[in-house]
Amino acid sequence: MNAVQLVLSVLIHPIDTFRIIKSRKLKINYLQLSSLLLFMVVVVRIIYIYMLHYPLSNLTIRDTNVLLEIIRMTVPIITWVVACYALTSIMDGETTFLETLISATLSMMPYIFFIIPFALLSKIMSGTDIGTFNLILKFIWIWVAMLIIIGVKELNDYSIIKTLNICVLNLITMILICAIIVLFLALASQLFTFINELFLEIRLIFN
Amino acid sequence: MLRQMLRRICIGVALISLFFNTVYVSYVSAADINYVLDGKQRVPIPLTYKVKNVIDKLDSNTNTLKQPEDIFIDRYDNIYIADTGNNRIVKYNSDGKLIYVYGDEDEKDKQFNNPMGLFVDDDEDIYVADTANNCIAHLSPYGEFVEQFVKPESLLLNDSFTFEPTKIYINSTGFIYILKSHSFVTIDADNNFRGYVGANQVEFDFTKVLIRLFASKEQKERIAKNLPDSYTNFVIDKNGVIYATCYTEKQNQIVKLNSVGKNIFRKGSFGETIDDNNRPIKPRFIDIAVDANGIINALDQISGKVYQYDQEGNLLTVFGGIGTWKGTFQMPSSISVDSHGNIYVLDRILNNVQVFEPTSFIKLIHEAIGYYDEGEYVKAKDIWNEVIKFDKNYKLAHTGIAKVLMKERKWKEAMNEYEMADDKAGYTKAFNEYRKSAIQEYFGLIILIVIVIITILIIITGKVKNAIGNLIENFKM
Repeated sequence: MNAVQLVLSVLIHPIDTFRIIKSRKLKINYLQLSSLLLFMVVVVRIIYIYMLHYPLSNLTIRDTNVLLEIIRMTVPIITWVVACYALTSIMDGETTFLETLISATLSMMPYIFFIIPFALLSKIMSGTDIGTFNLILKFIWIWVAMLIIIGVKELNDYSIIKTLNICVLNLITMILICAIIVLFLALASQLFTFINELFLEIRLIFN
Repeated sequence: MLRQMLRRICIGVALISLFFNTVYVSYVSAADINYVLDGKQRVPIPLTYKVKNVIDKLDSNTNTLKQPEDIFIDRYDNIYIADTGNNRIVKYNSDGKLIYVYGDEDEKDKQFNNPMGLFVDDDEDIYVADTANNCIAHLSPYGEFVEQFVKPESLLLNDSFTFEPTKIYINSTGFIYILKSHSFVTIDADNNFRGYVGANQVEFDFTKVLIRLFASKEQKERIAKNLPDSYTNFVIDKNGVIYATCYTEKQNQIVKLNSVGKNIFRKGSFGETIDDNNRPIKPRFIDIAVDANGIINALDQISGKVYQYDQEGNLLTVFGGIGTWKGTFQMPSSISVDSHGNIYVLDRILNNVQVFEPTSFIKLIHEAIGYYDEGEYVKAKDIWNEVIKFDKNYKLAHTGIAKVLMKERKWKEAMNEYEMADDKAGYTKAFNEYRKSAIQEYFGLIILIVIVIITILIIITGKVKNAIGNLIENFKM
């Protein structure tokens, strides 16, 4: 089974696909494949912003910030992977980091696969069809969420209840990670200003 | 391998970001640039008004103005100013030359006391809101005292009703409208009370409810009474519609009241909440002027800006500002407009009147709006195209053209114009019509294409499904 087949099979037989990953018989470089998938997510997102029919878009091309879009699409996934790996390793999970990474990025497949046809479809929708538009968009995201949950369940051999527990805990951990990073940045900037001012003072003394 | 891929990704992202950083519209914050608003951001437009004349000195033997509060322009374009600090009314002709001073020291028969407003009728008779004398004085064009209006006798008005007219206006039926905090009092020519018009309601405010719930009795006494928002100034047009500015904090600062006192203007907030230096401010609209074509000019005292709207509430231009150079104000107190569309702004600190003359750009816009209102859509479209030659980003011009194109049933072009104007609702209307006409024209073809696409999709998904299923089966073994 090669990478293309793996990527397609997650759309059709998700449970079996995750079991195959768990069996560790595949000879695919997971790191390369998941970086490629992450890259695809960003690219697809940008194409989607460009192609979306004008009355349905709440983000105009003029106001789009590419860096922000990259962060918006990749950072949540990466944080999820880190949090999930950390949590499952203390809650008798069975995955390696790379397996967690590949399962999370594979779960983004419905988005990668369907969002461009969806943007094409939006070309025949107008502002009055915004309900249908949002419904389809929600459907895609629910599909992604289901894949993520199935991935966690199958790869770690959890029961459904435990999987849902883990997912809720995971979300909390993600918030914690973000909080810690923000705290760290704030403290680092404080430290930086302190050192900077100290340096200035010393320089003034010797002048 | 990975490094190479990363490098490619970086280059790709850099290339894409080049596209995105293209700036289509630049935003400004300088004081002497005319602009319109796009959301909260300012979009500069060509100059719309320039100072034609500054009226600041009276004749050499009289004093300058002192804290003037109101300006009025009659139908012959004579200018009247309520010179509040000097307790008099001054009259200029349209060139800014002093003609007459009413209520000066040598005229002992009629002395004004703090006159805050005035109105001049078509016979050039002057009605002065003599605020501190608690009356409205009626003078002939030559300054002779005709009559005065005092607090009307009525069972409906109790003793606590104070009669301190500040701003007055007389409608075409001869009723005198007097601004009274949150409503207008009307009296007729015989000084009889005729009722209140356009009373503002107290708006529900959750924080105030919370404060009242938890405040002690002493604290409650100290809180200001929860009064409805009060009007600051108003004008009445030929049809009896009242245009008023309102001192509210959030929305509906400009209202247009029909004969029963209902607001028929665009609902929403007017003005801006930041000034030229990006400091937060609360707009305080102080006066309003409506010209013969229904163009509404509202004056914001805090930012010193004049906001010009059409009858639908679209912002046409913003000009003026606080400053010490020509075309800016220190503390503007009143605004008026003459029959040529010149705008007069009175300043109570600079004690002068600045006369703003419309440029050809804003004249074109007014002309186009006029033609559209009259139903001459083709002429309106031509003029909007002229406007676009001046300023490609002027949204209202694109909306104007789009509306005309909709009337001409040119849906595709209308869609383009609406997109240029960033008007999603308009675009949706045009697109729905376009889609309908397309379906009517190519119904058979569209159905055929849809059937073909669906069949192809079903076949492909079936094949892929089978292949993947087989693969997984093989793999499990």
